[in-house]
Amino acid sequence: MKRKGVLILATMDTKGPEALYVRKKIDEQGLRPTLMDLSTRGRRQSSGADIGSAEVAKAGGASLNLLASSSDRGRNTEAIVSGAVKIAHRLLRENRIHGILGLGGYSGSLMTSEVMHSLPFGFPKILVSSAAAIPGLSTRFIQTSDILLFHSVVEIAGLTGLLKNVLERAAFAMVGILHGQVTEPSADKRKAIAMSMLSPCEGCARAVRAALEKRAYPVVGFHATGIGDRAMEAMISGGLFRGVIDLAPGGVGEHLYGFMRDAGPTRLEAAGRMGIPQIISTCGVNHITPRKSKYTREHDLRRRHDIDRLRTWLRMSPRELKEVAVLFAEKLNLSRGPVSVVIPLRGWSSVDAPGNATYDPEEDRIFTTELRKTLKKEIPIEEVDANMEDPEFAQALVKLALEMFEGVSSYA
Amino acid sequence: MPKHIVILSSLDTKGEEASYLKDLIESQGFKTILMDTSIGGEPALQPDISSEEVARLGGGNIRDIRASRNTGQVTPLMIKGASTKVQELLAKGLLDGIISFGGASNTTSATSVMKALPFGIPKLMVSSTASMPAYAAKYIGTKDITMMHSVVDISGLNDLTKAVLERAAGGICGMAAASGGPVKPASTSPLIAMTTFKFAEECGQHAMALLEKKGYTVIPFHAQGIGDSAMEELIEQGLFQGVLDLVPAGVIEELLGGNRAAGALRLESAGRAGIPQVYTPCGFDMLSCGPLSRREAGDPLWTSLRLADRKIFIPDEFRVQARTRGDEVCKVAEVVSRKLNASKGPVRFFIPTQGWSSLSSKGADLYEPVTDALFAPVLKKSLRRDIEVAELPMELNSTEFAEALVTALDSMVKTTT
Repeated sequence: MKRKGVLILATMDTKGPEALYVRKKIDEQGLRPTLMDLSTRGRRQSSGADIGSAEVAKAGGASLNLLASSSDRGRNTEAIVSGAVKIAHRLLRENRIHGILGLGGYSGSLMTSEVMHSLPFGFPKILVSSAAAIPGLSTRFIQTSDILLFHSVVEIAGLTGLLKNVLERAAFAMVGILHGQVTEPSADKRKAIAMSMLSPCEGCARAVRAALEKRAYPVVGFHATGIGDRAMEAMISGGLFRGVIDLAPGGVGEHLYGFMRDAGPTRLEAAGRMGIPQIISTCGVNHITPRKSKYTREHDLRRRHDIDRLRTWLRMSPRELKEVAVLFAEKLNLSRGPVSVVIPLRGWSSVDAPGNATYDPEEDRIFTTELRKTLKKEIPIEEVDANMEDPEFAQALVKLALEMFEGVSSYA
Repeated sequence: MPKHIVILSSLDTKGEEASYLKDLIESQGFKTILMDTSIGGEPALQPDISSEEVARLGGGNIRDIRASRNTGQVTPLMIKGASTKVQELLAKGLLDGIISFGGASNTTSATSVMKALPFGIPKLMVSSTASMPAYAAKYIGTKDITMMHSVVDISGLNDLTKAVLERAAGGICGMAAASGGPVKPASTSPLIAMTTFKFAEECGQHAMALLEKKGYTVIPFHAQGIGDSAMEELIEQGLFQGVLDLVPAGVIEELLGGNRAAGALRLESAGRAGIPQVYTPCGFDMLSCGPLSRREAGDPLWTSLRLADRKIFIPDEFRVQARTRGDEVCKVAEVVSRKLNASKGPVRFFIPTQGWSSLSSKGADLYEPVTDALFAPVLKKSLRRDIEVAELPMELNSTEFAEALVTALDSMVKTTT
């Protein structure tokens, strides 16, 4: 059997011995390593890499001389990364690599992660980084990609026993992944449903999933934290799903105001563009989540609910509810496929359940009224006299889902 | 003997997924120990360690925990119980790797449990919230945890969730196959822990080369708050024979609220372990206060400490360093003394009087010898008599200074062992 290939990424001018050590371990385990040098300084070196930085720079439209004479480190990095992406994709097309493993500090991890982001979901990606736990960086390394981010704890400098231990574990993790069982992540397009959710609507999500799976619809869940729902939009655009149940589209408002669950400017648009049926509900839409260190005095005065030690939701203002409703309508009005909006009348999540501080169905109605005014006529809004987490609400969603998704399957 | 992988899972809702993961791991020749950490209800799958036991070990009772609506109160009990249990399994040789999967709540609890395990034990957290701003770094903290971003929620078994769980199983099995348990100190070459950062780079490199020539292995830690806290924990794990704490900056950053703050316990573990320690004041000459946008935003750190009125070094928008004041270096001298006075082993402090870092040597942006001069008298007054303070008329980033540090540490290690 042909040996599976692993692409190793490192800046050989600073992490040469460490990368060669990983290369050796991968080789010893019966995999075929290809080591690519991401050094950006344009020095000529015999680094022991299989693909030298000259070749990477050339693929990125630059030359070693150009890199060496440039003081613009940002531009050099860009050339190397774009060259590395091109080469990685060529190797992937030629079926010569089956996993990618990078190591680096701050800059090296950023470069390596960019190459990983360009590779498809399901393709094994391991990044060993000494900067993995620095606030803000881990998020930038991972983004919406299915990376394994391995915190080295010690600096990746010098082959000490501690670092060897880390590099061996990382290399063997790749070995384990490539030797193990592999399901191709090609969701069954004729059937699979994407569903966004958050823990405050977990009960509803569970009930809907169970009911749909009983009818042989696989349901793929996405945590609507701003990252997971971006990933959902990207996978919808990739044609992976036949329908969407968007339980928690709060990322739309969070983007408008720049808060933590910000899901980017194109949230709530992919399904409409693809023309697949979508059911929209409202978990978390009536709350905001600014970073706690960024609370203004006005935020301090708002009604609030602590979900746990880390998470607090603040109640949205009436003005914001109106603004967000308009934005929802603008996006949903562009849809080429069928859309239904379903709104619970007794709180939109377990956070604003009756009795809790942020429960306010009167104010919730501001959103509904505005949405009804601005939404195109063929999009129905159904109101259910229950809380989001009540079984009645899940039942209403399921009933609608079966109508909409089954209806479509007849001409798919 | 087969190796054991512990699976932490909320079996009240994730039975099917946990069962799939368990089978995958067992098919690679490992034994599994399934621990139920759920607080919701009865498990859908029979665990090896029940949630009743976990709750009891945490000092609680599963029936009360299930009845409680206050997850913020009961979760810590389950974390405590699970942490106790995994340490017990490790001690019995029944834990060669640990894996868990889930969303925000599970990730917070499971990574807390993983933090109870030493460096070198494979720890894999499969999480749909791995990439979330504000949490991601907290999940990892100072530990060698691997975060795998699942992208999709691990709820139900479909082609996407299966693909994720298969890679996770492969990853933890591979890591556990490679691992020989917690990392132990190598007997051949004594290990020295050293803190360093950009503004002490030359000194760090000299010292490292000199120590290696003397037969030591040096493990450098980046003194940016996380790296140096991680060093403290590895010192507790008994890995090192000595510490060259070139950059104790985390103490003053903690005191003033800077970006490199390293927690309240920095500078304490080496003293408790009784191993030789050598210090410099590098980093007490600056405060990390970026990004620069905080200045315009009227950030509390900037306004309360009046940073805009000080000397400031701005290499780029993010890494902004402000000069520290006389009262602040005196205060840190007292705090450092209090910590070092508790040491059980030998300690020496070296002050380079011509600049504590590349930023405060002559001609550099934060050069302020008058302020620096206030530090030594306070330090000498507050330190225990037997802790020697040497003032050397040189720059920190000079070969001579590095030599002085290494000579001292070498003789201290040789007399201690």
